[in-house]
Amino acid sequence: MADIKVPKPPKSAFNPNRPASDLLKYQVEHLEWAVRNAGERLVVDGVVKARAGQRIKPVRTEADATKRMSALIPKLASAAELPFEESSIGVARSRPKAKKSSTSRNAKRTTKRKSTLKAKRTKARRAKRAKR
Amino acid sequence: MPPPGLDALRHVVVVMMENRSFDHMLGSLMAINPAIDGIDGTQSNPDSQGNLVKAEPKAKYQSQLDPDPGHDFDEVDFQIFAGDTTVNRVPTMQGFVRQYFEKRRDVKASRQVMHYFAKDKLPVITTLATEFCVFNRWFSSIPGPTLCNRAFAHYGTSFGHVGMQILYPNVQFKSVYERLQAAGKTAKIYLFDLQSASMEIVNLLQHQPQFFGTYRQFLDDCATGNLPDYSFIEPNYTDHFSDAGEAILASDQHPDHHVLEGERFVASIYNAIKANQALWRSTAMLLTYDEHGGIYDHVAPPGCTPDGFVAQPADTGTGKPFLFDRLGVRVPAVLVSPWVPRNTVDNRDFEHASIPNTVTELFAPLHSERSVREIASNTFHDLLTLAAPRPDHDTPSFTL
Repeated sequence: MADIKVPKPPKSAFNPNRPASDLLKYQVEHLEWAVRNAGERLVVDGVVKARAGQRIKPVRTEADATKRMSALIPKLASAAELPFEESSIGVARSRPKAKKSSTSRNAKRTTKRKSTLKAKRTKARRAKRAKR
Repeated sequence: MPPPGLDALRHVVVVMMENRSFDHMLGSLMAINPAIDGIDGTQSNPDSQGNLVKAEPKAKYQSQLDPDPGHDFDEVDFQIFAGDTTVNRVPTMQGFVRQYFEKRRDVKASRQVMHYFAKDKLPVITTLATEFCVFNRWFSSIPGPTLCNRAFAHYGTSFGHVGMQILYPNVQFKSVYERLQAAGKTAKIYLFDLQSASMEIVNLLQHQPQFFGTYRQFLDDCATGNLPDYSFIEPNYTDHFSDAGEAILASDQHPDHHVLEGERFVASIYNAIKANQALWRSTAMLLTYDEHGGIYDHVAPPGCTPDGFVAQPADTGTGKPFLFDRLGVRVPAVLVSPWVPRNTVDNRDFEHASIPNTVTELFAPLHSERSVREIASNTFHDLLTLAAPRPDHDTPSFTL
């Protein structure tokens, strides 16, 4: 088969000042959300929300979107280490690490209590046997 | 016994472009092959003044569809049902021109949504469609916008969403990338560069960077034989300058980006795979579009297996819930492999959930937690039917 030539678009096709499509606006918004601290990430029913008092700066042109994306994408590697949870009540959750540690603290306390109780009972049993 | 082509299949590459309908891109092919369900000259839509507007081969690469035709859920609902909201309504595909009029308030301009490309204007997609396999009935998964449709390609569902504001934390169905990883296979999303984000980069945040690469890396991976089992390629979504100051055109074909740049992008992917003979003979490449972008198509979307989710009236914008029981508007889809016979035309129903279904069946068949919608969708790997791969001189080559 003969080679098929695919023509180049004209230089005039390039227009970074074209208004950004909805697609680009949402992409930037999602990236802005992703690189925020865990406590500032708010998702309600699968929808990205800015917390009260915070505003995600809107994107106007494709050049704007490009500039923002090129700054945000490299930050994602560190953002990936942050938790990714959904809030069903509209309030951003704190990092689950804190929850986890408080849970594990409680678990530790319970275990400690149990083992103290067990030790006391063993001691009493031994003392009883010794008396006999 | 599986056909030899399927036995040789090691890689699946999916290229998903933006916002063009089947008739708009491939409708002209019916003139050269009547088996392709394209434009036969009878298709039309009424405009806002009641005049009939015929589909005509007058599509231009740029500047006709600015502003962007509507493709939010309620807008697509209008395009399909022409404003009929009754219970037993029929999808007539008669609301495209009137819907676009709402965007521009210009009767003449609103008719341009009926234009389709003459075959010669799109040398890449029309050649691939006629030289390999074209799907007559590949539909977008939802009659709605980009992100919910792309979600079907990654997860086999959009988890009840019909819009653009979507994040999927802690969902019950894993992405196809995670499924393959769990099965000891490899999968990657190649975004164009660090100035053009992937749609899934946020949803798969926890898997940075192993699930992500760039277009340059894709080309390198093809050349060095390091392509993952599954690759999903995203085009460039913006006109921008490279780090070296070079002007780079958007290649996604989203209106009003120049369509030829998307043609060149697809050709470059095809060339990169074909340049490595071992890779070429063990790869199937699917080219498709996320949704129709508000541009006319004449085939009424069929019903489908609901996935159990419900979108609420506030989200659909139609005043009614959506049960995910009907597909979106038809989009172009072409399967490329040297194991596919020339001029294959497939008439089964496909949608984007067919992508994770096919890839999972091929590479992670033991993964069972999938949406019923995905499981019910058709798979396309059975199309590699030839007994031997076609020789190089029998398949097209593109010069860029």
